[in-house]
Amino acid sequence: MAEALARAVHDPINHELYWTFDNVEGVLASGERDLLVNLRRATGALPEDLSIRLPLAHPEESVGPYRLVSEKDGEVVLERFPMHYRGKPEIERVIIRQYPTLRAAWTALLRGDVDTVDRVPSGAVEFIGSTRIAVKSELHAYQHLIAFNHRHRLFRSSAVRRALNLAVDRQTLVDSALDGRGLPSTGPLWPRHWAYDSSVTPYSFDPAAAEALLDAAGLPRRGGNPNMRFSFTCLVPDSYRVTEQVALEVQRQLYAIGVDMQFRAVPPDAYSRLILAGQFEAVLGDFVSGPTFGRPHIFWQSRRNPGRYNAFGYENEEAEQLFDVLRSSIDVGAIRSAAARLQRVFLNDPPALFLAWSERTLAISRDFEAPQGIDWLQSLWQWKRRDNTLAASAP
Amino acid sequence: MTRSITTKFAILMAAAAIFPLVGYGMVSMLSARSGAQQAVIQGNISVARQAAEQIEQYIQGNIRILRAVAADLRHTGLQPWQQDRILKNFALDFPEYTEITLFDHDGAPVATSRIGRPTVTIPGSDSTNIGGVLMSPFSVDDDLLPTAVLAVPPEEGPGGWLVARLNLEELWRTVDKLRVGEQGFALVVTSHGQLIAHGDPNAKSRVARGDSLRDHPLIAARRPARPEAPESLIYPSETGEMVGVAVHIASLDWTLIVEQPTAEAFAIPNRLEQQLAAAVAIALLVMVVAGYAWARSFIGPILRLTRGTHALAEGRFNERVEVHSKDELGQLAAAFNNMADRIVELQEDVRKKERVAMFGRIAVGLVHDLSHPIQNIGNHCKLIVRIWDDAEYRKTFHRTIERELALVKRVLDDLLHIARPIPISRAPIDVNKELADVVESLQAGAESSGLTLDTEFVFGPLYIEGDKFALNRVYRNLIVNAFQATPPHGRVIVRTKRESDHAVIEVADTGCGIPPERLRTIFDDFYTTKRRGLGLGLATSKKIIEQLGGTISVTSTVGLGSTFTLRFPLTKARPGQLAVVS
Repeated sequence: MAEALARAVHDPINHELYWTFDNVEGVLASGERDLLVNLRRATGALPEDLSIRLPLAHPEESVGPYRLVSEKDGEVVLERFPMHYRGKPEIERVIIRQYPTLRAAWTALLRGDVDTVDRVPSGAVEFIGSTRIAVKSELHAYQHLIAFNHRHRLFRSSAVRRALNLAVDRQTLVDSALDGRGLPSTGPLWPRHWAYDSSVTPYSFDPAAAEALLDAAGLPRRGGNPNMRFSFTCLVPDSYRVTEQVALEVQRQLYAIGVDMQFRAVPPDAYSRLILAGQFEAVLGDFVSGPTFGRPHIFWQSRRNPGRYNAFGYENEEAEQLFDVLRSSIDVGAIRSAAARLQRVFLNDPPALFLAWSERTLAISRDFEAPQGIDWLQSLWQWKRRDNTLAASAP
Repeated sequence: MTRSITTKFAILMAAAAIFPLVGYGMVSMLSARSGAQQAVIQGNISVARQAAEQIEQYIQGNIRILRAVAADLRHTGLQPWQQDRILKNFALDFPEYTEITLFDHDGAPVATSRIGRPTVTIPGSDSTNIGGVLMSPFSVDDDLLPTAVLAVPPEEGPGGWLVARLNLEELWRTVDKLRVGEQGFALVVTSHGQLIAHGDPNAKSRVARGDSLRDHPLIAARRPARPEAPESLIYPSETGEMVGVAVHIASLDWTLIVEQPTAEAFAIPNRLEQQLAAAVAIALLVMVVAGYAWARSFIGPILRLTRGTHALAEGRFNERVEVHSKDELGQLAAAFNNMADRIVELQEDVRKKERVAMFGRIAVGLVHDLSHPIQNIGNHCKLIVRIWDDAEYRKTFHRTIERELALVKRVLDDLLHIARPIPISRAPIDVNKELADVVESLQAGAESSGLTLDTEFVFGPLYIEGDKFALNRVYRNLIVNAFQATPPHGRVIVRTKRESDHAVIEVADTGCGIPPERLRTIFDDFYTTKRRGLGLGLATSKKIIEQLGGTISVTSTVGLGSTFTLRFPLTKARPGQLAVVS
């Protein structure tokens, strides 16, 4: 187990995704059920990062409630791990299948081929619930945002980025584009993190203030038709209805303050490639941003740090220092204080146009009892069903 | 019998109530059921019509909006980027439209609300023409949302086709909201039979699958001649019997069906039926109970009168009937009680007269039976005084006195035996032999009366367990009675027979016979057909015979004669030995 964790910690990809692994020097087994992690420096956030998949040498081993039995043709078979430290899961076997569309997954759910469908689109939620199927929606640690390329002339100005953040009516966005299933967002930090300071005043919708900021930043309306201040192109993945709705709504709202946001719709693989290559002015997407502070750090850490995901080029020394406190500190007060300060730093120098936290909706057969308020994958070991077999699907 | 009358009364009253009640109940139930079912169907038709209008308005409204956009684009001479902006804003303002794209005459996209490439195409030949606007077949997209493509043709459009993808969520919402009761749902079917909306959440997968409802009874029953006429049917389904109504949406050529399980739809009339049936049953039960109770109260006095008459019949003359009502039955009971009082008085009178008559008959009989021997004794006593010296006469005197005293004693014994059993001894005796002796001793008497006394005895001895002297008295009594009942020149025959294990003795005469009404009492005490005597002969004879285990009976024809028949069980014992008891 120690070897598996050491391999995972030293995996280059994990290094980019888990900000505390840099500080891990080695992992040793110190007893039958204990591991000793040697650190180069204090790293209080390490436990949060240990929720990772371990490359276990033996298939009968596991550190979670389930162990991987097989993974083939898009179907993952899991079996419960009876030695799970929080207790043996009720459901013996879990099968995860992928379906090309929600319609296919939903039909399978209604046929009884599967027992739950994950990631139900917000627009379909009201039509899926029935006497046999319950629908559970939870706020998801992903948010819709427009990330700016800070190497671009326009977006080097924090005033411009603040102005754009002030120009968006997020509640209208949530209502129109997300069918009311979301939470307005004004920063990259997960608002349900224990250290999040909810007293920090977020952006309000103030298009007049936005226009004033742009005027002050030397970006007045240029006259003509249309009477725009500036224009930029936003990269969007095509074929995502919700993303397109968000894009159109934001486009209209920015249009109102004289900002012409054009779109470049590309397939998902090109979308990722262009981002990593830095070939964009702005990017609209549904980005992971929690539940740990390490997640936004992936994108908004200093561009000087090695890695692929800080491709947006954001640079803020104070933010970098505060991220470091959040990563290393083991003092609760210090972490809370750093989190609040970081929230303010991101308000003053927003790295992106933060829009809305999205909801993740799960359709689940009423034969099951699942705990409320917890991500379904995290709580799967607590689910209950009569025959102890579960088939799940993800469209 | 009385119970029967009571029951009959109850049945009569119940029957009198049953027919009108049941008739009324059935008519009411049929009427209520029919009326309620029609009301339910009409209500459902009304609901379906309203929903159909809403759906039609919803589609027509969206078509009008699209036409308005087309008109705007046509008349304002906008640049393509402006048209693009208008279309995007339009798509945001009207979320029913998920995409609007303007095509030129060649079918190339000019402007679109989409960020990426347009996904809509101009509807083909399978589309429906709604007032000039084409509507594609309904479909459910990959995000499980219902859509259809609308296209405004170039004639109305801004120099080309204006094509929009219409999100029909509102159609689904309208259908979802349409609930009839708890289990009644609406569904919408296209002219091709495609199910495009279903109000039952559990049936939505059928919409996603694009199920065909061509075979739905209401679709199959649709009348092409009058498509606007609503249909209503009751038909079986997988979930039980349904009542369904169908309304045609003419402009869309869709059919909206509202169906509901009959168990729920007709629950109220069914409940009314049950309540009515229960009310009728309770009314009947009350009528039966009331009829029974009333019959009991009505029959009660009659029952008491019946018991009174039974009491009188059984000799309980002190019982009276307690009926205090003043109606006819009360009067009848009072009359009955008066009658009973009178009967008691009359019976007392009769009893007194019978006692007097009885004493008279006994006295006359005693005088008759005793006067002759006493007279004889007296005469011989007077004579003996005079001829005391005649030794021969003294012997005669002695015999005469003994005989007459024996006669007196016999009379007194008979009187005594009325109340006490006659002392009987049992011994095997031959009936033929004893009878022969008696007949021989009475032969002289028969001749002196001018009668013939014959015997017809069975061959051989007939042994019975009997008392020789007592039986001789019985034989003698019967034969002497026959002498007395038979006129001169008549005949008296004494017969014996063997019948199975019984000995039978018959004493028959050709006398005057006994009237039938007297045959019943001929063996009673103090009964005699003779003018004088105690009348104890036959009674005493019967007692002796029955004490010996035998029977006596008589048959008689007035004017032809009488036959007395005695039957005794034969015995295997013989004189001088103990009887063998088997």
